[in-house]
Amino acid sequence: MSHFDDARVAGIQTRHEAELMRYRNVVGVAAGIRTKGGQPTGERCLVVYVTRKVPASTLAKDQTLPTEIEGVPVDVVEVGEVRPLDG
Amino acid sequence: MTDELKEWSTAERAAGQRAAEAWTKFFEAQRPEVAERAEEIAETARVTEVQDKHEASLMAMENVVGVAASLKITKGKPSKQWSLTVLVEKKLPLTDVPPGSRVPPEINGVPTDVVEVGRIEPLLFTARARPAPPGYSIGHHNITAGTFGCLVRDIRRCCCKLEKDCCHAPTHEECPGDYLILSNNHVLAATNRAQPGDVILQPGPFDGGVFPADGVATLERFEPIVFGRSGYNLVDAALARPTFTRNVTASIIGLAAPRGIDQAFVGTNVIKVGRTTQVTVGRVLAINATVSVNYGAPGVAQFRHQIITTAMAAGGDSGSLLMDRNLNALGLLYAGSAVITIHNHIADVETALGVRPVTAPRSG
Repeated sequence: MSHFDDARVAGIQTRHEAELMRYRNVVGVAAGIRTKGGQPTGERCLVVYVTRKVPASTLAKDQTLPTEIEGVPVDVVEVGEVRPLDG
Repeated sequence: MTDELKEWSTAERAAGQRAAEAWTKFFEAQRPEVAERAEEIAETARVTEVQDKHEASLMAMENVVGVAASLKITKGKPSKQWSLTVLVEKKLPLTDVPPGSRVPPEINGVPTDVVEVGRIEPLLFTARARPAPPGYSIGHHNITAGTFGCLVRDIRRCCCKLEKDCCHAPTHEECPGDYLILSNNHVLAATNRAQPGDVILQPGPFDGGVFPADGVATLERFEPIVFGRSGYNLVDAALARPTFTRNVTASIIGLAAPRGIDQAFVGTNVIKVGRTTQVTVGRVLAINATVSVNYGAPGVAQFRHQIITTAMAAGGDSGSLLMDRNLNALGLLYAGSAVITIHNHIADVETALGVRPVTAPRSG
């Protein structure tokens, strides 16, 4: 985990963000830390927030998120619907 | 907008809680918190031990509302002696107390101290309060309710440019600027639908705020939210001008005024005070996130350069000020799901609206 990794992931986010945000179910993209089975591993990755996680087999090919981009792992995190927090 | 505040289900909340715990454990292992106040812990160890043993029997006594390890108060002044402090609703002469409910002067060698605190009630952040402190319910008369984030100073429109109420500062730079209320666009400006001058209620309409009796301010200006995939936003923020400055205070309930402004980093320990979930803590997970937020009828809006934290809010917390543990302002809470909460960077809010949060820097 270094500043070099941070900068690299940030750069990848900038380049691929628009394309990732176009996927159905995707509500957010950020440079973050990878989790496995709910536990953070410490590995820098590109976090993609989705409303609902769906098995890759049930998705159309163009709707399946890549598992890595430019060598950086993509971590798909289910967060539900993101909405303003008033009423 | 619906008439109901959005609430997460128990299962959703549990999922958010699990994620937050995992992250807390992770960051604690990364940078172990320095064992601050080690001395205090050593000194209070004996008192805490006795407290654990006798707490239940003390709490069972009539009139007792709390037990804590604290400094003994002698003749109204705290001494250096650690004691087991018993909080009572009302201090009575010993003769009026039934024998079973008399607090012994010492327990297992630890002195006790009886302190009168009155009845303990939950903090109601949904109540009407004058002056209104940040953290309380607020909202435009057409919405449900949100949170009063903090007081800010207007640096865009110096009061000296207005004809009335000039502060008579000798130069533009020295003018302190007007004091304004900061919250979200969707709280104070009903998601772009409001007009400057509209009445802002405290508490918000959902909490019984009535137009115009509970008016505390009028809408000053807001950063319009751009909807659709083509555009993007940095902030969901708006300002209201208090009708009278005595209607508002800068001190966030339960905490002091923000100490300063700082930048959030991944892993930062954060805290917020809001109408619904009140005081909650969390961890920063990302500081340059892009997110789509579903505003319902107006549509979906994309936000860039956002702070993502572990879940620390629910419906009604919109507008809360995100702070680090030293009470430096970091962000403005505005959206989220059951698993994450999303905030604008405070620097982006300052830039968009031309304001500076009112802070009380720690001296020395």
